[in-house]
Amino acid sequence: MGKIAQLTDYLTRENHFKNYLSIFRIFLCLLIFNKMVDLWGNISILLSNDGIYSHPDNLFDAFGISTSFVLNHSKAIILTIVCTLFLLLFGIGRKWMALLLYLEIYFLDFYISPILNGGDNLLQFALLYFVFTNAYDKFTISNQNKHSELSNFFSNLAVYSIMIHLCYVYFITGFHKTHAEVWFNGTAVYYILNLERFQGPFSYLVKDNGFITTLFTYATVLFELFFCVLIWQKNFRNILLITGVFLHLGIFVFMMIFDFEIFFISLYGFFFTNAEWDYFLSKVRKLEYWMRRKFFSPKLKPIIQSE
Amino acid sequence: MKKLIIFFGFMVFLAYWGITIFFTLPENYLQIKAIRYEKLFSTFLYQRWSFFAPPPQTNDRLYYEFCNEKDTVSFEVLKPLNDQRKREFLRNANASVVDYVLSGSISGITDGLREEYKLYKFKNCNSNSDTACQKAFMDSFEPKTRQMNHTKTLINYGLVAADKKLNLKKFDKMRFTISTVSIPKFSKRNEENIKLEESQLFQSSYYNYTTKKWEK
Repeated sequence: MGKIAQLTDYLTRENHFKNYLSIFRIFLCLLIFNKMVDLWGNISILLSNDGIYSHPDNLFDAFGISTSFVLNHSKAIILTIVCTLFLLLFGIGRKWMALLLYLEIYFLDFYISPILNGGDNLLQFALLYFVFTNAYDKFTISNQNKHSELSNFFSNLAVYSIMIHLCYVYFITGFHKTHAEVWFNGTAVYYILNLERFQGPFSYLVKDNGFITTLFTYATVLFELFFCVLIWQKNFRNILLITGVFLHLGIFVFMMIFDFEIFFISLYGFFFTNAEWDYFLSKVRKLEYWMRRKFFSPKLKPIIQSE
Repeated sequence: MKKLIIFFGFMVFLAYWGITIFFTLPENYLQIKAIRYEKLFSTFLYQRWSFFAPPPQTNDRLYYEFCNEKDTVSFEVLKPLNDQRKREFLRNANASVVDYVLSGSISGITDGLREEYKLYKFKNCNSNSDTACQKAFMDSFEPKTRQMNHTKTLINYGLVAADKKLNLKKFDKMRFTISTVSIPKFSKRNEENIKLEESQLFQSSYYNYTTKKWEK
């Protein structure tokens, strides 16, 4: 009972992720806004009754929301999501706006399923957990600095759910890989980089290199299998996160999978404590102050002197 | 009251993760026993995390053929599309959407084909040769694909792609063919002039896009 009381006290006494949650809120809004811009440009392919993609019936047809009705109003739906993003960006509506965003994205994903990937899948869950978080302590029109113990409890559990889900995704995907022969014998990255769909402009540099492809095949499997255990150990945390950043940036550059990789990297911020984020943000403020003094103050002085 | 809510919150948290882990592990006996609950889980909390496990070892090709009584014009669309995505790199959002839509439709047809063929072969082809079995299967499978949304998507794209290359009014029929080109085996990756094997997976019947009817 002592341990449970300790755990309960830890989860209720403060919002342990207050710094990064606010940053993550802004990042989420910008990421989803970028997706909406891309979708807007592809309405004629994906979200139109006369579009290329022929939509199957889905869950909402059973509730009387016909696919053709949704497609006829796809621009309005995208604009509604953009408005929600704008409000959430400034912290207006807070958890209710976050809930609305989750429901909107959940709904829209049924109609854009061909273009969804693992990043979109995890984004949906992150949005669900985000509804319960206190992400409005900073960078809002009206910062919310005081929280009840219950509010802290649910917010902390929600963030731990995001972190656990990331760990679980890595582990289960690594687990699946051990069952596949090409991952087991070290040739998987060779075959992936030779898939034309995922060949970026720089893939030719590494795709046929036996040493690099074998090394990265095994490194990927080991990283995914051990991340969920080692990330919670301080001695391994930083090296794992740096490795993860390089892994995802490598996929970004060599395989042209963009949003997915950026989103996964963004989740790493939750593994740093409030104190570490305070330190980092203080360095950013110092750098901003130095830049202002260096680049803007000299221009002001001559005008004052001539007067 | 606060303690009760915290207790309830912990229970929901543990139950949620227990259910999530149970239904997202690789297929096993326990999951199969709970398959109707798995459908409910997938409806609201769908997730699939087997990225490139295993990766395909072939590249797809999608050929379109437009013809009338005298002429036939054919062209392939996936290779030029992938080249375009590579060229555009960070600005390739539009081409990527087309690529994902086509690949999804191709996978939808070919995955269905593989599953149906396994069942068909088990039920009907004990003594027949593989070639005869495959031909009989395709004769029965192909008409079913005409109503699939994947087929409609590929037909729609074919008309859009052809509109940029030729005068659609000169032709009246079209069909598409899905094939795969194998990636050279890892051990042969540095061999020059290696011949890449191309295998046809599926060929549709002719679709008359002026009358909007399939021809046998």
